[in-house]
Amino acid sequence: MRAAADPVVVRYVDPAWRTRATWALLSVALLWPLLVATQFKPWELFDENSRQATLVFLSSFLPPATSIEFLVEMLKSAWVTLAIATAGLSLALLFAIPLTLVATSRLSISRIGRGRMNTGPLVARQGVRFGLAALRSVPELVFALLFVRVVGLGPTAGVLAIALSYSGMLAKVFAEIIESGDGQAGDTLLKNGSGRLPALFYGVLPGCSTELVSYTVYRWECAIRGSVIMGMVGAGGLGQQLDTSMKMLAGGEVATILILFIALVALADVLSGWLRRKLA
Amino acid sequence: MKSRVSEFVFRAQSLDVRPLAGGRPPIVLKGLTFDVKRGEQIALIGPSGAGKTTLLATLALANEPDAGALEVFGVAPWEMSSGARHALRKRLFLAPQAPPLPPRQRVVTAVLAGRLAHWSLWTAIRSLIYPRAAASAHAALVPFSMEDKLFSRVDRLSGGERQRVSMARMLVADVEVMLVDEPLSALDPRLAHQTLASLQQQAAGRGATLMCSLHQVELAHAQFPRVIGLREGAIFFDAPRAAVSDEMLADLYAGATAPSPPVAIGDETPPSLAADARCR
Repeated sequence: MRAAADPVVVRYVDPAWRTRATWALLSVALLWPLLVATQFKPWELFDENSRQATLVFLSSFLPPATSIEFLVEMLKSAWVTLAIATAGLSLALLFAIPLTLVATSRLSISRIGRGRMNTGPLVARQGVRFGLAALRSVPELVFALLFVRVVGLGPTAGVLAIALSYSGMLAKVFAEIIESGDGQAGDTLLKNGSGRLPALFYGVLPGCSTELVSYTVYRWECAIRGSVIMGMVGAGGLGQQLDTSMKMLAGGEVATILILFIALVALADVLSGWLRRKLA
Repeated sequence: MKSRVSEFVFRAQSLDVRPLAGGRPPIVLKGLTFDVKRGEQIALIGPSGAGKTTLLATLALANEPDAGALEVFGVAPWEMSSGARHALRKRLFLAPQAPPLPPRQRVVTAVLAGRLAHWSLWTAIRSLIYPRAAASAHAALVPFSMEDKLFSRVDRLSGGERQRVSMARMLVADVEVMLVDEPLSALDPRLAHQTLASLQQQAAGRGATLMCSLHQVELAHAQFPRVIGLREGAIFFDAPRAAVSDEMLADLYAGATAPSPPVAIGDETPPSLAADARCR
């Protein structure tokens, strides 16, 4: 045992180190031209002119408008916004769930034992994935502008816009959540002859239901925000009120509406937390 | 052809199998030829890495062979359509070594999941809302002394308890062939003995074929009428119990290429590295 008598320093070299360093350097090199292209100069925020403009704008927010009449009207609008978000998201789920089941490779039966799907199902899955990309590449605002032309001013345009663009996002992320979770439980059921949907309910969903629910509630929160923006193009709700108040330069009213937004988003947060605790 | 009752549940002719996991692993099973008759009980033994798990997966139609011919119930599954092959899987059951049961699921649901291959989607969903066949789940847990855990959550169970739940699931599945991968790996010797006895008794009572991979060589030798020794992906011996001598068992494990030589904890310099370092 010479090694014991004559201690040699052995250096353990991490084989992954070189790849990591290369990628880190490459991303910095890629990021730099992006910053130049976007004229990213944060210090301009703090020069004399900007500070003055910010101060004037913010001071007009105080005090927030609190007349009962205004508040009642805003609460009604907030209710419409909630309704747009909820109805839009429900419709989106209606489209997204079946699309998820087609898009995810987890529930493929032809792949078992071979590791690759049959050509037919593979083409169908890729087709659906492409369709989902098309659906979510159009911003909901653009859909809203379109639907305002078709169905006229009002919440219906907002609901349809959310339903369309969110079904693409939901289905994509649902499929990814299902695929990134531990697939063993569902796979075992499939290997023992179970059908796709029973395997989904008994093997796949128990493992990823909290993630699915938390993402759905987060999307609901996004739908609330989205319906605000769409309100500005005439799709009803709080957004339309915000647009009006901004155009009238009524800072107090804007402040009140913003506080309402914060309350709505906080509500979504509480709901999500409660659901996750229930499902854990 | 379905009505034809074959005397053999499996007929394998020079099977080569590559396991699915990982990129393109080398062939693990080479030229396996054997027959399994209906109702046989076979122990599968051999050193770690010999290919026992891959063989069980192949027989469960969860891994397509690279070469050779495999007949299951008298038909060639990999020449059939994916749907017809999946129908065959209802008659087989593979219980993996680490039972992949969703942690948040209750034992009753995890056991009843064994029925999924025979249940309609509607029955499966209804049973998720209220476990209708709880009595059969209870009956399947009794042979493994697990009946008092019927309504416990899976994440409250120990590893050995999960293994027994997985076997109870196999009993409710009502299959013709039971393929069990190291069912005793997390059990103490006394419990291992009892569990194996129950498993063999249940299989015999149902007229089902049982193939079981084991590391407990003495137990395998004492309890199974036929023993297959697997070494480095090939059949080392395949003989009735009486013909398996102690020398054959010793040879099976002798000088086996263990995955890695045991390194004493705290010994910072593995011998091979130390030698390498000295050469510089």
